[in-house]
Amino acid sequence: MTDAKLFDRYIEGERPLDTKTLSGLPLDAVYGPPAAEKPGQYPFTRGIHPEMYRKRFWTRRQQSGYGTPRESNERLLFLLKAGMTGLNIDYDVPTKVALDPDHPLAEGDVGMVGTSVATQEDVEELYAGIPLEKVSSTLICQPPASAFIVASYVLMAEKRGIPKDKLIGTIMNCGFTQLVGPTYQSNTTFYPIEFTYRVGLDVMEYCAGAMPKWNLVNVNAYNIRETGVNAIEEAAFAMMVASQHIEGLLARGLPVDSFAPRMAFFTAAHIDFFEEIAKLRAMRRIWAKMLRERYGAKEDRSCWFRTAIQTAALALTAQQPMNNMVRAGLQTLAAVLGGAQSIHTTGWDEAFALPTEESHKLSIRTQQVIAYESNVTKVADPLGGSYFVEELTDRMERAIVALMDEMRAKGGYLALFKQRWIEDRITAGRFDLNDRIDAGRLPLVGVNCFQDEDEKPPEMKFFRIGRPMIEDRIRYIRDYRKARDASAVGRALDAVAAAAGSNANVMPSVFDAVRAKCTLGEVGEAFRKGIGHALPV
Amino acid sequence: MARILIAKVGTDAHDMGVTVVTRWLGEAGHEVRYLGLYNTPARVAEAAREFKADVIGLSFLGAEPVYMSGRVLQEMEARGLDATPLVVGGVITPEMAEELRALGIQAVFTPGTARDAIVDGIAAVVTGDRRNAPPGQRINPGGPAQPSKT
Repeated sequence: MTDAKLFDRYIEGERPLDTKTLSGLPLDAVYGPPAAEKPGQYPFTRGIHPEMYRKRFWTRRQQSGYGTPRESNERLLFLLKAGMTGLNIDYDVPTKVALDPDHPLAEGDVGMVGTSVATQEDVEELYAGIPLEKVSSTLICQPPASAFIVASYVLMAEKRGIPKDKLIGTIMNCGFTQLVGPTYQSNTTFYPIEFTYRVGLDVMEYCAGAMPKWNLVNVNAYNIRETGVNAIEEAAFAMMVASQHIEGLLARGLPVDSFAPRMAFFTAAHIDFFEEIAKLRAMRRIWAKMLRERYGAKEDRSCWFRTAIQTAALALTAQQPMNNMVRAGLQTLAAVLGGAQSIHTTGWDEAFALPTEESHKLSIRTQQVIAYESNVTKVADPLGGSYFVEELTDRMERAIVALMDEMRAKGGYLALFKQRWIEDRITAGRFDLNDRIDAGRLPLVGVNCFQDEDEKPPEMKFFRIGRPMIEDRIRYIRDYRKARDASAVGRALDAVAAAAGSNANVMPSVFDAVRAKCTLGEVGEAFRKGIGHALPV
Repeated sequence: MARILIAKVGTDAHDMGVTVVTRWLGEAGHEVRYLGLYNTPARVAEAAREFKADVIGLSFLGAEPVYMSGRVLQEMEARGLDATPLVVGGVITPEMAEELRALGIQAVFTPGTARDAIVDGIAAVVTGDRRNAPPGQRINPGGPAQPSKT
């Protein structure tokens, strides 16, 4: 495959080669009685498109990122060559919480679970050789760091002569869920939750106006789920987070149809096959009705529940780790039958570490086997009309809506987060989950049943990053700070602090700060200065 | 019963494992203090000194456990806590587990370790009798527990 073709797969899309079974029987795009709801019809229970994967497969979008931006760029090109069709960039935790690599709290975590980005130069290195107008990118970053990341991405495109309105991708940008889910301390230490929420809205407002093909928020239901709560809580919490974002943007005077089509979700595909499928079908219905009935959306696109899916890592085990390949295959199939827009199949070795190149490729191959060989892609919503699946969809919808109603009656998501009601639910959920595993009431093959008597640690090569990379990053950021106009940096950071302390949108000041070569950590510090918030260290 | 200090160090905020283990150790009758997220190595050592901890536990997912545990050991030594055992749990590869033991970490609990194995393992570290530490609790080698017929 030529390099030019390599970058065209997202725009061109992929689809089944024909619409027949292996025996040659022709297949219609959709089945069901004439009066039944069809895929592509409100409230989109059966999928947001009339023919779903028959016209275009889901995007293969594996999360990736580690070490320096240059190392991550190499992995991105490797994955695109293996058949990945969209990028999904994960940043390390210091980047996500806006700490530069030389911050004392960052010393062990630089480049560990994502790539280390602290400057606009880093962003350019990360995307070297990748055409931004052809390959869609998800940027896994929450506010307020997302403001810096979006500004850097847009300015990189500007340098390359690509207008903002041609950029395709997603800024995750959810301040309630993105870091490790909605746990209390993780979301209140670096910034107060109100500030994080407000900068998230600033970024959304900017994107809604300037970047029409860009997704301005992606509510991370996956991270909610991975804290240990169940599928009903995952869906209800995520919908209420989205509701909080919608109401924030409406309060700023934006019409619902100007931003709702660019809102998306990231959900989990856990191991309970039919419950996960029913959850996704129910979430589509709930979103559509909420947007039309509660928020008055006119456009169908506003009512499309679009979701990326990751197969739940919580279902994977360190014992007999090859079993994880089977789990991930089942979970990926559930995501496909549930109507996902993009999928990350979690690597079988991720019960230990970030995936190696080999396991990363196996994740893509898993999806390709389902897409190209199993023929489940040739009919839209093939489970639609199943007595069981329809009944379970209805019951999931009722349970999720009941929990949402309870949360609304108690004051909505932000209020419940601050009251630690969310935290208490998470704590109860994770205790229950672990007690059930420990008591053997929730079977985990290889862990609490069917163990190998002589199980030894697996003799496989796990991905690991060397310490010298961290030293390099620390040296880099210190040199970078020396080679720039210090007074311009100071002025730009003062402006960021002033914007943070006012009611103005922070984006113009963040753009200026990136142009003045401020680092992400400096912008983060200026935010804190502006609002008078101190770090615990 | 022991005084156990538990902490997350650095920016890694994955805390399901650590909150569950904290509760299990408390239920086993120990006096447990959980320091929460976002601690520097110095802060962990300082808190251990103030708390007069018999044992310190660290939890990791996605960080570099070997480097960070080494840093905590340094800070402990600087405060004369050389004799206090340090144990580590979390998402840790076999290679890292070996390096941690070589570093002087008294016990390493990897994913899937059963409750009793953790509780008994830490008790054994505190009493200094590691030979009695159970080799990982097996619950039902033959298959899942069947629901009782009541």
